[in-house]
Amino acid sequence: MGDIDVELRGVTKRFGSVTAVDNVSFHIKKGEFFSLLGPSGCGKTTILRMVSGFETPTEGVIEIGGEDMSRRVPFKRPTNLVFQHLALFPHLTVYKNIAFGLEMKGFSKSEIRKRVDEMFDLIQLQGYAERKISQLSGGQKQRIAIARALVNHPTVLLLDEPLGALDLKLREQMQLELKRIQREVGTTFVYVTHDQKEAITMSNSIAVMNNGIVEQIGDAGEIYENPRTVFVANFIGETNLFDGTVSSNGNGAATVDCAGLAVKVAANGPVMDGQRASVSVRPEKIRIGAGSDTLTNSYEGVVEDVVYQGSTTSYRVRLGNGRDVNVAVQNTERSDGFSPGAAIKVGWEPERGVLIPEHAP
Amino acid sequence: MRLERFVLRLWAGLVYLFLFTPIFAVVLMSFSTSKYSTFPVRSWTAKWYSEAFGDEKIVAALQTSLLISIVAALIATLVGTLAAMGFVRNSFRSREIMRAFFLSPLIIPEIITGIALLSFATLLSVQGGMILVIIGHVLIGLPFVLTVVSARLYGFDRSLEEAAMDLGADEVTTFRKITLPLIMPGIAGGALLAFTVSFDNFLITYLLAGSEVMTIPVHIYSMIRFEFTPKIHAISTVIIFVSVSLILVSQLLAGERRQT
Ligand SMILES: Nc1ncnc2c1ncn2[C@@H]1O[C@H](COP(=O)(O)OP(=O)(O)OP(=O)(O)O)[C@@H](O)[C@H]1O
Ligand SMILES: [Mg+2]
Repeated sequence: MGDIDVELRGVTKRFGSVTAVDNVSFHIKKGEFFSLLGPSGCGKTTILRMVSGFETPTEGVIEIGGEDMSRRVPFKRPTNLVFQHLALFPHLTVYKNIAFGLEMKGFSKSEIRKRVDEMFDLIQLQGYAERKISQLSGGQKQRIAIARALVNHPTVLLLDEPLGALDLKLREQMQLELKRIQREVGTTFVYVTHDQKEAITMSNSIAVMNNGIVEQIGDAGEIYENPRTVFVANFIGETNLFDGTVSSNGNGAATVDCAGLAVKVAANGPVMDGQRASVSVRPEKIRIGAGSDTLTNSYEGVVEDVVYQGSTTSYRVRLGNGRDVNVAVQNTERSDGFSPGAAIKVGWEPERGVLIPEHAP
Repeated sequence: MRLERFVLRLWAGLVYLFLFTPIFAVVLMSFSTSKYSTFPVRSWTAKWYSEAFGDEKIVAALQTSLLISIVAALIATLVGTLAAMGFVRNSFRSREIMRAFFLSPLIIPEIITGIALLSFATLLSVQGGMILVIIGHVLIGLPFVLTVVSARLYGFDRSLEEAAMDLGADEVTTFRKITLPLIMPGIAGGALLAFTVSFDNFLITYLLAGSEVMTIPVHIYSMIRFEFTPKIHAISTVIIFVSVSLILVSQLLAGERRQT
């Protein structure tokens, strides 16, 4: 099985009547940074707990390094988990917490000291070795929890929202460190987050989850540029969604009639006339003002709202049929912006939009 | 509102007075030179203490008491802790019945527990004696250990055990390195309580002791019956002091702040 490290096949987990994870399948390559992204309660923690062995799948198989894990107890799995609620040992010092896994594996005292000291450098907490856990801040605890898992150099490192309590600067620093470790040590990362920015910047591959189901798996670009469900389009980045019915299609193009607005869009998969579908168009892919009247999709509208955001300016434009679209414009030149109330045109080419056919319920 | 509080305080004060006056009297009289229990105390002495600790029978009874209480407390702690783990960590159908069974010595009058044990022993034709007394003391100590250790276990964060296992510790190591140290204050508190109820126990010991086992409460009782001496006050004061201290320590342990 060579380069596949973690594989889930048809994994379902039910707690009584609650289906926390619903028929999930994916595989993660060796050394990959794989993110599980999704809103609260969608089953991310449950997946990690099944991979580490604390929950047994109701159905399905989990393999690590090609080996079926179903009969493997947690303490014999080649994984380490950074718990969402950290679970640091309150009766041990910081040093003893980090050293715990190495002690269990019977490393020599000097080797343990060397490795733990390396960790202290990494998480920038030199001098905290003898502290008690209760004497640490939330962010410090989070770093200790990461170190306690990382120090063991596991084949697969599972991280459950490990950077939540850190401030932006430290967060970015730790993100870089984690990426560096992933490159240098070749550890496979399974990273749980509900922060889409974090997932996009860190991952080789992202699984977007909703309600226990994996909605889409792909690299960041694919998921952003080619969302396959309305949920994914909405959850990753901002978007304008035009819901309607397909009024004509063929030759890799389709028109969706959306409350009187005909939206042309490139169609890669098969669609049928009369099918319900949505078109997702990212705000930065819409042109506003000069030049937008020659585009295939071109509509008249009135500027409702202007928000200056530094590198971009964001406009809310009300179209003729009464619906709003958001448009983001790069501020490449000094403000040539529009003011609220201005009558303008907005437009985009069909291939800028993404057609998302509604699935049969 | 203020009146209400005042009345409540007054009431509490009266209750304490009612509870502790006799005990205070014993303590005071143990330091009185008078051979009879008179009040107020006119002059002070510690001679009853030296006499009490010079009395071979009292010392022997103290030793017997200590031995019985330590052994009974150890057994009660071991059994009670395991039972608490079983009750808190598992849910099985007979759990509540089993728990009630373990706690029953708290509610069933001691004399009945004693008689039951005695009849049981007769049934097995076991003589009264040390072993029987220890069994009786284990029984009355168990509910205390069970209660205190259970409380500690309910507040225990199981994810700490998962974290240990995730880091490669097997079940036994996890228990030894994580669970045990964290519930230790509960276990120690339970053990001290079990020791105290055993050390203070009269009725069960009296019923089960037979002739050769003489613990300090039983000995005090026989002393009162034959000849009264202020040595009784002295030794009683010692017992009061030890019991109260142990209970205070066990309370401190049980209430020890749980770090998270
Ligand atoms: N032990 C359990 N018993 C019953 N239900 C559970 C249990 N663990 C999780 N669940 C349920 O399973 C679902 C998924 O939970 P999970 O913890 O995996 O979510 P999550 O994606 O990690 O959410 P968050 O981002 O809030 O941590 C939730 O509806 C939760 O209530
Ligand atoms: Mg979670």
